[in-house]
Amino acid sequence: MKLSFPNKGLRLGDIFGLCLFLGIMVMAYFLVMRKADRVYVTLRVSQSDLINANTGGISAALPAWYLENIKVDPNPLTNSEISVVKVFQYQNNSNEKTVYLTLRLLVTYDKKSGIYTYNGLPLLVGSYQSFTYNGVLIRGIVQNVSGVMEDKREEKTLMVEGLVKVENYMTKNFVNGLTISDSDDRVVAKIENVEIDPGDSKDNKIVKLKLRIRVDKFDDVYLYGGETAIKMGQELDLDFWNFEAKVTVTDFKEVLE
Amino acid sequence: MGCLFLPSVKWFFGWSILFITGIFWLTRSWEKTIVYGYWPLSVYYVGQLYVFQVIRPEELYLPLYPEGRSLYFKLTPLLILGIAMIVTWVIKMLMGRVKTDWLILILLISVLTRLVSGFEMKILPWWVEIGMMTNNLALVVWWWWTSNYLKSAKKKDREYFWKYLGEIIKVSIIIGSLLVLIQTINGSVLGLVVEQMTTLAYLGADSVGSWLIRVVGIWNHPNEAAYYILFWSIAWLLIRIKLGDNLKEILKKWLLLPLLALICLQSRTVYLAMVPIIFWGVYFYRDKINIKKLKEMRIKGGKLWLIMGILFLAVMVMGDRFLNLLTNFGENSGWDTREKLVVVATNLTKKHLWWGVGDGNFIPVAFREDLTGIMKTFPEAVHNGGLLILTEEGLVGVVVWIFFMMVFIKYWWSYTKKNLKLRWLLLGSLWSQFIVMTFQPFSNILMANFIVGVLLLANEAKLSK
Repeated sequence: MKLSFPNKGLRLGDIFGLCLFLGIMVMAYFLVMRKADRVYVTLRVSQSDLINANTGGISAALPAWYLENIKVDPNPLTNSEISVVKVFQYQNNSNEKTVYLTLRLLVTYDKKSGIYTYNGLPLLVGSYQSFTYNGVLIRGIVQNVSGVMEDKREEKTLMVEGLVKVENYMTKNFVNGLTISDSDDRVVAKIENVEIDPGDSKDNKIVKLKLRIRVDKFDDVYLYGGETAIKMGQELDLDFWNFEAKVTVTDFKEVLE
Repeated sequence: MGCLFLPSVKWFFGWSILFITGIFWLTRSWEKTIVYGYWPLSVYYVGQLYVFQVIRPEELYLPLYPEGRSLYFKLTPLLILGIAMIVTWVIKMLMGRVKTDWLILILLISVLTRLVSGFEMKILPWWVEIGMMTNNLALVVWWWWTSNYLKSAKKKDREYFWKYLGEIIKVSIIIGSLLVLIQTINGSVLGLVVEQMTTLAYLGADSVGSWLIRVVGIWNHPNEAAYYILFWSIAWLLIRIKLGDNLKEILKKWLLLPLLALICLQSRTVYLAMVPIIFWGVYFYRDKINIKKLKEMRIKGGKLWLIMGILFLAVMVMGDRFLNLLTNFGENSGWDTREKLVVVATNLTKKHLWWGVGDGNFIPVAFREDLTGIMKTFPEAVHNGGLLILTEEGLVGVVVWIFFMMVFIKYWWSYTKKNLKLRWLLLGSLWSQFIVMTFQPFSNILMANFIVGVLLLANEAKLSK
């Protein structure tokens, strides 16, 4: 069937109607329309972030390897809405695995509010967000969105002195040169010197350690593993491959690498 | 059809501008631009998406909703056209060039009551409520523009309109059905900008393990897809009957596409909704159905295989789905969940009797106020359209809808005195709609059959003068 439209001359009211439609469209483009963009988002995911998700409060802890199995996308610069660019973790706490994921997301940007949105939900630094990636639910706190916040952290090296009271059989584990590495294979903690003193009974010993550790300096605070503040008298969790030591910090100073 | 392959939402906006400007260029009339441009733009729900999370994932008891539950709103080209339509309509009204229409006045009251209901609960921001109201109002105003146009247009112009609307609905049915069939073959969505879903969701316990995947087309759910395809088809049929087509002119090969799509969508309620239309066809075309001739027909080759294939598919799919229904009565089954949701809706209705909880607000309000716990495991709207309207729009909203239906049926009865085929097709489609709404959470009364029905009344009003 051939359709045809009866034509006639243009009237002012007709032109006004079309101009109104086009005008609202232009206004919407400049005032409301969001710009599509790709941003890098750092997400802090820990085991406890996944506990209770969709269980209505029933405890359902996931195994530690769940987080460690999230792999970097072999081709992260694809056109997909989401890709994992980097997986990073500190080996600082065996009881609560924490992974930092750098995600590359297709987002839209609202000029007026300065907020990025992913799949319609605002992508706010500090908010809990869920992402589905290759059939895996990733849920965590947004640590950073590229371009939104300036990262004030600086990387520093500290010489830390500390002591730890251990059972006699544990002393043999503390050896010079023992290291802890992060997932990039960079050494984040290394035992430089070990002294073993008698403890308060015959069953235990006091181990005095000198450690070289890599930290993030944030204002006046040194953070080990991105999260644990180094302070005199406070415990520092060291998660070696075969044992864990809670070292009480007795002194620390910044050194040049 | 070209906009199916647009790369992004922005391109869709650009395409919409070209489309509307193109119609204006052809017709040199804003009125005709509205009359001819609104329906094609309303086929796709594409626009800038806004998501409002109303239930967090950790508040739910089942892992079926990993992102919790959200309400959605889209800034679409249709909404922008709607605003322009409303503004120009107000100007036209002020200039006194508008004829009043009872049906449309009742619908305007319905838009107003929905706005009051939405604002009462404060679930969504005010600008979303205004946007939703504008969408509702735009449909009514388009009706008004078109009714007004049909009442004052020449015979030739009216004929153009009906042929155009018939063709547009036909193209919409073909596109919607083709996408369903391609998705079924593909086993997934296609990643097109016009698709609402990016993945195929979990669709109920009785769908798991089905040998034929349930897809969604350009909609959100297979049942919704089947509902729209069926009622678009009925609307197209209404137009063909109105234009006086005979059975041979109606039964075209392309109708196999919606038929196959409806089978593949596996919606039991839509299968049931087809029964009144089949009865209508058998009754009014009984003289054309000659059993003796059918027995003597010798179908061979490709046609035979096609008919056998469709019959086999229909028997297998429908048989499987209805068998599932009969074995699905236990705890947390489809029936059990529906019954529990009715209890939730009844409790909500008692609390918000007059104005309801607001259009689309059933899930967040029921989740907040439900004491039965069902909303924590199944955060969905009550699976009964009538009860959903009562819960969301309150008694005031229901009374307005009943009044609208009564006035519509009265007019329809009177205007179709000489065309019983047309009369009973629309009344049969209302029965079909009632069947679907009894079992599904669909509260949209103004489906394509109604839209065409009201326009036919406007057309008949002109003819009867």
